[in-house]
Amino acid sequence: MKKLIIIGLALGLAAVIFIYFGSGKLANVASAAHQSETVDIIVERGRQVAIESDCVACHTGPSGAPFAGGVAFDSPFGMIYSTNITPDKQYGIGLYQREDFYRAVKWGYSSKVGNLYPAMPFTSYRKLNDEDLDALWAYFQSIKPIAEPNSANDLIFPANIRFFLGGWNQLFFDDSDFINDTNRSEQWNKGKYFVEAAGHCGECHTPRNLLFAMQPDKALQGEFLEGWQAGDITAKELKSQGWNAKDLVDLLKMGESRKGSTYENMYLVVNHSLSHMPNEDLAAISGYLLDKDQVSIAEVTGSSDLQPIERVYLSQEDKTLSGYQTYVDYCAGCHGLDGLGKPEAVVALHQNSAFTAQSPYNSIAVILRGLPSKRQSQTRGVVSMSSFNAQVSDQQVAELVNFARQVWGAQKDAKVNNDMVKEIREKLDKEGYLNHLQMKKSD
Amino acid sequence: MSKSTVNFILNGKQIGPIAVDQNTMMIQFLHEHLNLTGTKFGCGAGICHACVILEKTATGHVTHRTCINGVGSFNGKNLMTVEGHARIDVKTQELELHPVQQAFIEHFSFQCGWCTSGFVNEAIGYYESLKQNPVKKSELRSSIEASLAEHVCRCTGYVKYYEAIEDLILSQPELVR
Repeated sequence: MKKLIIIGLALGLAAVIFIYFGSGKLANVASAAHQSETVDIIVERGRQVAIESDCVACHTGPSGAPFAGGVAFDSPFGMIYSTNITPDKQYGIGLYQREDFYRAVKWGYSSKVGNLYPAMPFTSYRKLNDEDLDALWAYFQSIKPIAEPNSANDLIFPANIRFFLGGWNQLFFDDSDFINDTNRSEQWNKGKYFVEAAGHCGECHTPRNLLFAMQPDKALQGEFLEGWQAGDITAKELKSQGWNAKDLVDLLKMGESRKGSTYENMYLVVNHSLSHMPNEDLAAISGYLLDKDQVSIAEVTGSSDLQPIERVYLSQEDKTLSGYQTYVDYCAGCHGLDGLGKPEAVVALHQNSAFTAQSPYNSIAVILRGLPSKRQSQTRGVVSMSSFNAQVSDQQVAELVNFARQVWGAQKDAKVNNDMVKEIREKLDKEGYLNHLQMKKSD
Repeated sequence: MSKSTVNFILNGKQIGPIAVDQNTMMIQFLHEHLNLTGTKFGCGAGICHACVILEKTATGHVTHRTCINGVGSFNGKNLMTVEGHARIDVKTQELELHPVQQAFIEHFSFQCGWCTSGFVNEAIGYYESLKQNPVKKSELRSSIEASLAEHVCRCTGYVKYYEAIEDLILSQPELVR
């Protein structure tokens, strides 16, 4: 018995030491990178890094005060609130030193509260280079301090003990610098750097394990997020769907493309971040995602407008397929009898990635959930889509999706069945996505 | 062109089963097959809600836009258009409007009238719902605004529509709590 107690204590001590050394508190912070540039240039570069990193999305809350925090994240362990990252001395990061900022952004450790939850994507920002991080630090020192108090997290035990996050870091945090692949072009590496670091694309698009850590061997293969599937954006999948560099740049720049439009969280990413980035950077991202060493600017900006929708009409044979009548009854009023959509209002369906994707999940979910309207600019927007949950049976949805995948997604073996629809409907209902996103009272 | 079968109840009368062109939208069917032109075609994109008609269900009322929904999606439903709400008094043979319609007239709620049938149907659905679930008096105005929020009017600017409904509901104490 005594022996067992000693072994137990030893193991416990070892675990505490293991967890302790996982904390970003112990990270080794490099010395300042920017030494020869003027402060103005560094701050401006920092502003761009903040845009690329989409800091505003999580750190600007309901009050609207820039970077004052307060955005709620409904995690499976309870509510997490983003914090005030303005240079306010009381509530923000006004008392931070450069090392504190580095530890927070790159290693997930706050000198104020301890280990940070990986809702803060330090797991990706770890790949930022010191030059960019110094610029970001300079920028956050330059913005207006806002004295807005932080909201306390409301998490269940043991998730509310920050110390344990050191253990999570030990198990899952990849504490390594960005790797430049010398066999690939400079542009390809620039795209890789954005996707892996500031863009933190993997945080939504990479499948996670049971403890919510990204699985590096499945990078960018798609993950479920708030009832949607953040799509598989690997080069293999994008190429099989027929995406080209201009499609991707259109989507990232304008939120819509020949292959469909962004919505929900990705729409916000475009609005806050990607649409403010120069074409050169977007070309690099598209090149990396499509695994192309060179994407010319002319290729992605040949015209400032979107690529015109291909006016492909349905054949008489298409119209005899089961699912077409349901399409006419519920969808054609907006998307048109041939799926051509309406310019600046309703997306076209031919080659739409909802139907070209390997996974039919989003095409089923969108019929059941609908979508909110969105406005990209003074002249461009998309009207809302009704939820058809109460209108269509599992069989109608299955036939409709199979029809659409066949005629617009070029997928001859579109095998969605009633059970798949039933399962997705039940899951969305259980998670509360069929009601609170029901945008229209009338259909 | 392929045909689809139409079969529903409209303004208390059985319609169909009859075969119509597969691509027919509901508003087209109302105008061209039934000669019911009170339902107006506005934006044609499901935004303005001028074309809304009412469905009576087992649990209450639901509205539907007829410009973007094919006629086939209405099969099996019990529907009302603006033509179906008024009653003829059997004794006097006088036309008796629905209280919502009467309130709109008394308040000069509409001008050109294009959006009116949509407002009438939505407001009747709302008014009928209060018979089951009366609204708190303090929340009446916001409740009216929420129920009619999607309807676009380009003449009178909503105020008179909202006032008409508010006055009507306040005149019937059982609808508020």
